[in-house]
Amino acid sequence: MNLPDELLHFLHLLGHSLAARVLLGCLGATLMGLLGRRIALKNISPLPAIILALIALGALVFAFYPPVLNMMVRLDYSFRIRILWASLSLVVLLTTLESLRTSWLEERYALLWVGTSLVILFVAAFPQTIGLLRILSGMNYTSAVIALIFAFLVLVCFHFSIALSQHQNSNELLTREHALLERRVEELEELLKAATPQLPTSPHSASSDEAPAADT
Amino acid sequence: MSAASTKVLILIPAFNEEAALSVFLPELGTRYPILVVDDGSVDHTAAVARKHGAVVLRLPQNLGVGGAVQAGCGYAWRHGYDQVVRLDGDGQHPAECVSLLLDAIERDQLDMVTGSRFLSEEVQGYQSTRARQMGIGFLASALSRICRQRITDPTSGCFAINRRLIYYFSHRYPADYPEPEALALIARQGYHFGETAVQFRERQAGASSITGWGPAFYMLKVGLALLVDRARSVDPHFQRRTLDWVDGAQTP
Repeated sequence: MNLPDELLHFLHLLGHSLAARVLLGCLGATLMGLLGRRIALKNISPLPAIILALIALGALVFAFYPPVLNMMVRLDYSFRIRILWASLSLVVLLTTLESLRTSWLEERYALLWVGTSLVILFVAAFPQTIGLLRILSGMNYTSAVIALIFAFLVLVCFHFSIALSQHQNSNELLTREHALLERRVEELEELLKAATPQLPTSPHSASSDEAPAADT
Repeated sequence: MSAASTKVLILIPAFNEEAALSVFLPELGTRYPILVVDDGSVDHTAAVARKHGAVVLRLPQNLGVGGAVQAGCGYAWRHGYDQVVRLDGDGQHPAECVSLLLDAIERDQLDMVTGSRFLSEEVQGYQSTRARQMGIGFLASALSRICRQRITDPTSGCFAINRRLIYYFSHRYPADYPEPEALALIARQGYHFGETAVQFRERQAGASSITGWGPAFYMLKVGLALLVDRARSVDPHFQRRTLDWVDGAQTP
């Protein structure tokens, strides 16, 4: 037997063992309890909360009704793949929104990510919309979704390239300005030294030219 | 704080406004010191401003009006100014705005006063194009709901702020199209603000930097930013009551 079949066989055995089911049920319940406490205290961010809640719920449901796994496996392939795409795009969407909320991510970069995940979510909910791609190229549903994701990822990478180029230019400009400012300060120091010779000069005067620390 | 002892700074962010400034700066006169923030202009904006006696802050590169205002507020904070009046560099805001805004801020004890061109019932002065007016009206109603008070001119670039907001804006100010976002932000952080009626004019010279696709992108960007700001938690370091120490503070 290959790995997926072995896994299913193992879960089938678990489902028949009362002890295993009780253990799983208790674990699920404890996880739910811990989560509930954290949520009540507002001590947890949304994304880990949702993922852990789903795991706990899954454990509880399986503990109470093991045949649910058989039902899930016997679902139509096309339905399962749509659920998979929808879940993945939801995870991306929630991660992006959470990063926006905690100011990890700037709005201008978040827009593309939110757009991508919304489009994939839409296509998972309404698979007919991707029919155009099938007419054009004969791809099946999964291939078409992957092609769509690829197109969006290319867009995102291109956006990054543009942003990087702008930052490169900005860095170079600031470096030049920094050098010019440094020169102005040196000229001011020379003037000051000439006007008041008894004052000590600063340690970074023009006479002590060390190479600045090079951090590539 | 009597009017005689408050230090007021007029802040003018400018991007390639050499023509408009040469007309506008003499109108403002020398009553209050003027700071022109040159946002990486490629013309002689800085030289023109200096010639008319303004202090010039030359940004090495273009940051947009948000960055320019933030830099100006940084200057105002470090030099101990009590109030800042921000005006546009294109001369759309006549010189009378300054006294109107400062009077309103003293009279109503507000942290920020915005000059609104839509406050009075009759149409006065320069009202901008029809399309923009509709967009501004939509934005105004949305913002009024968010801030829970009546806002008629959310994109007005003419406002006056007191010392707390000088400190706040010098640390945090929205980058692109900042005016509506800033209002929503200070409402959230507990500041008191209001509007006063002013009349705008046509811009004195030069061209606007928001043309073509600008307004549509503006709405999208501002809409998303307002939603995101709503979802973020209140920043405790910059709430109004946290900044009580600002009022008595000397310059750092």
